[in-house]
Amino acid sequence: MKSITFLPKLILIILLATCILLLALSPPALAQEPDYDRVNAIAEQLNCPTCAGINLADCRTQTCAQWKDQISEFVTEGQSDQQILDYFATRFGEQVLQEPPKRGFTLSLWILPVIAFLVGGLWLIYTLRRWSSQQPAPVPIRLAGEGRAATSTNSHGPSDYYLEQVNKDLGTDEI
Amino acid sequence: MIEQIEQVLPQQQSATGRNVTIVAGTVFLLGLLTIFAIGLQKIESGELQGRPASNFTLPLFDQFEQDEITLNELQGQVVIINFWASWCVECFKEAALLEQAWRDYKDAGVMFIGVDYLDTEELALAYMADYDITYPSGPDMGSTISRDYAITGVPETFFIDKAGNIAHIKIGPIEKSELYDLLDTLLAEE
Repeated sequence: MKSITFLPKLILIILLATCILLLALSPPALAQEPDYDRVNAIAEQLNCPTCAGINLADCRTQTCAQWKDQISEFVTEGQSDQQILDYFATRFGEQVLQEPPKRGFTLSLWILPVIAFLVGGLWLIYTLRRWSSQQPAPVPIRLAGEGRAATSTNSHGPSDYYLEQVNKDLGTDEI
Repeated sequence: MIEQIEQVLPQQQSATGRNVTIVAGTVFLLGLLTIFAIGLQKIESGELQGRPASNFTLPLFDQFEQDEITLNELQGQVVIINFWASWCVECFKEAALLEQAWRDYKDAGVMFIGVDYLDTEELALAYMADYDITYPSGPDMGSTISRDYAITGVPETFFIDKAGNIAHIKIGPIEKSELYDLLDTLLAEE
């Protein structure tokens, strides 16, 4: 009877001991294998330092391989993505970042396109409105021989000259 | 006839406005192109020869007694600044020579400085151990020194005379005869 009550306790103790053992062993085992998806994701945010226009993840040079190893080490150590990116920017300069930081002079790289888009849009709207509001005002045109006034556009400036020219060319300039 | 005239005249009227728009657009585009062209302009290290060497403070790797070295504090000495990296195959060819020259000339008033370019510290230290580099070397933090000296790659070596001017620039690995001749010439200058 005594052994029957003792058995569940023994099983419980063994289970607890196993859990403790697993917990004790797991962290080092996990720490030795970085998350390569994360390493690649970080590498995609960095430029190859020695070749133009290629990000670190796609680069096959020795330098890039070294940098990716360095990222793996940092990931293994438990550093955050931002900490790793900050390290590379501090160590090698901000030009290694795919995206320029949103501060200082490089902030203008983020703001200027938006400003240019807004200004361009406003300018386009203004120009289109101005052009559409410049509907020709009716102007009487008297054609020789017909003795009547017709309506046409533009009563001032160059248009008068052109009208005269048209009338001359048509031989109808005698009113 | 009247209809034809009506079609032509509005275009004439708005021609001035459109011209203004075209001119403004052209000026804007030319401005952008000018800014772009200025951005593309890049000075190369060769153009720095004869000019005063840009001052810098280089943090040194832990193995050195000093924490950092500042160029301006070396006025009156001949200074050799060598840009290198552990991934640079060409750097291997001159590493032992530079160390030998440092040992041969350090007592004559020559200072060697190694600037580690775009490198990881672990491999840089391994490289220095492999070639037994003992002259002050450190990482180029933020690549600022490389940028100031407008290097085109590694290895690249700058020879600074006693007056603090860049007397010579060697792009690529240097040969012993050239290195020693240059050092002798610079040391002989007053």
